[in-house]
Amino acid sequence: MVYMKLLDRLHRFIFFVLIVLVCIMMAVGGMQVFWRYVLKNSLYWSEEIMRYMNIWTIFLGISIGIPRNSHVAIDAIIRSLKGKARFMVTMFVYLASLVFFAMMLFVGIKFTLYNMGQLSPAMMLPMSMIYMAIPISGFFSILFMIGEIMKYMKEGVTQ
Amino acid sequence: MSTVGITLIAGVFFFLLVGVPIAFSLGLTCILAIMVSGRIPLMIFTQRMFTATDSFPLMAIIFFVIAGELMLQGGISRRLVNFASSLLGWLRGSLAFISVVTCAFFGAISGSALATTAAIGGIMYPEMVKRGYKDDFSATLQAAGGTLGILIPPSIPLVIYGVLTGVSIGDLFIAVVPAGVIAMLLYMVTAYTVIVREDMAPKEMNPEKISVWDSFKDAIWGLMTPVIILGGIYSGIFTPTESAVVASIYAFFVGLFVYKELNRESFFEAMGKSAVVAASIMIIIATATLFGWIMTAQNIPVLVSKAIISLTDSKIVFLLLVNIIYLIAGMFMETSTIILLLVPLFLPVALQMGVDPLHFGIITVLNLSLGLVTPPFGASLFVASGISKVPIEKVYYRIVPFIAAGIISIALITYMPVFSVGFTHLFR
Repeated sequence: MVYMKLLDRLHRFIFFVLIVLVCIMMAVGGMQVFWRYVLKNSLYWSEEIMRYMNIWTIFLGISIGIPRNSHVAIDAIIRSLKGKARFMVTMFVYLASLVFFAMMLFVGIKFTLYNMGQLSPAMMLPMSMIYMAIPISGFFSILFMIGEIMKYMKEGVTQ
Repeated sequence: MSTVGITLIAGVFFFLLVGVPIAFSLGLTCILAIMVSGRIPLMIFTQRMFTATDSFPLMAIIFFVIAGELMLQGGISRRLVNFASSLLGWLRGSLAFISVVTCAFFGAISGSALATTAAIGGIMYPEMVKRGYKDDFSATLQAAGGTLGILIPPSIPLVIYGVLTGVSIGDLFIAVVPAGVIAMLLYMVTAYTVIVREDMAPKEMNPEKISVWDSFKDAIWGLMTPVIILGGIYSGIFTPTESAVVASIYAFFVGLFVYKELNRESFFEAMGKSAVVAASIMIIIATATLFGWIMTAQNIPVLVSKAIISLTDSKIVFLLLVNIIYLIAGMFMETSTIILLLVPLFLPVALQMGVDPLHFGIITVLNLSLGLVTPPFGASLFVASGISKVPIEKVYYRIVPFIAAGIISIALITYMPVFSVGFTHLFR
């Protein structure tokens, strides 16, 4: 499956980006403490950049959390069902999640465009660069969710 | 109640029970409620989610996850087990004690109950079964012990409570220590009673004798973590989030240069994994914040407070009521969701009745720690059943005496503030 292969690549790419983001956040956080406590000279940009990188980390993390099964759900009812009923309910869960991500995508685009001119207080970054994390996360999540549905159709139904 | 209010409550129950992940259930319910209201702009959906995640104090969560994960990859768990067994190895039922005490040690590095169950249970469960403990009992013990992960500082649920209510996270971390120690002791007593009554592991070979000093020297690097965190916060050197950053950098150096078990691959794996774990906690916080915002806009907290106050004006009855509601909610929902949804409903009443918000935080987290092991949906039970392959029904049965112990510790903490608020006075 070409789609699954591409999805796997996307997964690995996002995982790599997360590692980079988290490492930088850790380093900047360390610098913030060092500068203020040892050099007695607070960095004005460190907290802001950490918050924004954290936002990107969270929203990207949500998307690969789907194939990694990291989103907690109460699955007792699904597990107690069999056959067709189980298939229907599982499909409903997938579709409901897709609706949520579609809202992140569409409302997120509107939200990003609406705040186009806004700049961040400390570093004067365009805020749309950070708001963008929401629709992009919605988009990636939709891709991963479709992947999960395809996996389920292929393997899960027979269970 | 307004139609929006009804939509909120009916919607969230429906999506959760059908099996939609918690974060998405809350988000979808909010979208429905926004549409039903017709007055709330749809952009509130992304705007509230964004402002919820745009928080420096909440960044403590990701760094506490990283610190725990790096320590784990650095090889801390085995060293903590060794230290605990050098202290307790000579006792009857020693492996059960070692499990619980190691969970408490690991709780001092990790802020998560599930991570603690997985990390310590993964080592102690096979060990206990090998030495003649019944498998269902051994698995269940790991679930109960794991709850100490959020009762020994650092604690992710306490970070969330502190950010939500404005109570100092440093104070919360100190005030929770007695609760953690009491729960630990009661779980040990419970385990001992079961072991003696069922005559488990009668000819337990004591684990190889290890020198207390040697294993202490090995474990002390990990056990220093809460000292750095609390010392740093209390001396005013850093904020809770910065303390979490320092703890994760410390864990990195310990894993790399002292334990020397951290390599490039395990480091990257730990960092990426932590990001995904933190993301799945933060998305719940984001959608629960949105949910809370709509709830407040509909005046629901005020209605609930009025209803509670009309029921009772006794502090004791109120706290009992809170305990019961938390326990029931804990059977079904995940810890941070409950904090974000229920604390805004209860805290105004608690304040009116003269309960210290610090005390209320400890009551909340202790109740929710028990919620992690109450059937049917206690998450720690599923983790324990997963690592041990013991069927979940057997775990349900075995957890009952531990729940009784948990209820005793809740009663002690709830009605004797000296074990939470009183303890912080020692540090002032």
